[in-house]
Amino acid sequence: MTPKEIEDLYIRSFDEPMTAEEKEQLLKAMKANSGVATELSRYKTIREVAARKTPATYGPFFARKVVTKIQNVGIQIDRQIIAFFKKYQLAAVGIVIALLALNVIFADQLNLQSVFGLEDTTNTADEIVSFDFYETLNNDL
Amino acid sequence: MSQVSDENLVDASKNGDMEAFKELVDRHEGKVAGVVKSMLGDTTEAVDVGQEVFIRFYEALDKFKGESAVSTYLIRIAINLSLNEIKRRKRRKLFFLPIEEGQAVKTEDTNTDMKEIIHREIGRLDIEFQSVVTLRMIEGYSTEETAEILGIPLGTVLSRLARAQKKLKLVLAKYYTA
Repeated sequence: MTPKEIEDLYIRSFDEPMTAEEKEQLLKAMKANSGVATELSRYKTIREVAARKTPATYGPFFARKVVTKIQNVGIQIDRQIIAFFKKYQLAAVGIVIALLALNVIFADQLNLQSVFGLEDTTNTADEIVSFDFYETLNNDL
Repeated sequence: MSQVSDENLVDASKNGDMEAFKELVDRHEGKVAGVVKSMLGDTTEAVDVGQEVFIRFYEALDKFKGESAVSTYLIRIAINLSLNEIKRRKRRKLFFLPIEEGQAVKTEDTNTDMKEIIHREIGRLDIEFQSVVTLRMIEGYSTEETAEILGIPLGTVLSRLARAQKKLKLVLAKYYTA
């Protein structure tokens, strides 16, 4: 094995399971050259020293601070409003569908306008009586 | 409330139950603190980022469908926000004061000195290496968990770990005295 192969194998041993053959090869290589073993031990030191020994924490009251911050910026209110409407969203959809269905049932014809209750109640242009206020006023005078 | 599952607490939080959300924060703040402090140091920014992680989580509760564990989701946010902060620091050129060239650390010094140096050197690694090293080497997540959190293949995790360690060993060599 070349020194690079030994080094790669040694690094791999921290993160991947090794076969018995690989373990033997590594041990053999390290026994054969104490310089290599010393060099490789640096990796072990790095791994050991880098690893966290004590649990990390943000200290007491962190959760309370987070909750207060959420309440202060109003995200919580938004969520409560959404949650409130969510409760009734099914009922609301049902009511809307029922109203649309009623519109269709009572409409004379089936089209988009009748579904939404937008039927035009004025019949023809002839029936719209024009009224000129000023003309009427002048005539009266 | 410790017997209540994370999923139930998430559901309650979605309905505006702040006590349930507080319980979630209490449960997971340690893991978030570990990752964020490993990447940013024990700084005020680390506390701000920690709070921001949970605020972002709260805002995104509706999008959280439980495909991954709550802790995985939170750590993912923590990593992203920490990386953003590191990029900001680099832009401001405030990222860790450089050690003077040739400054040696005696091998008989306590591990605290070595720990400080190793963590500083990890902080100097390229961003894509930092997150892998933090999760696997510092926080002790398995390689599979690291891959899942970062959304990268397992092979990439392993190769980044190997390259980062070689780089660290090379850089740390100058701190050893014969």
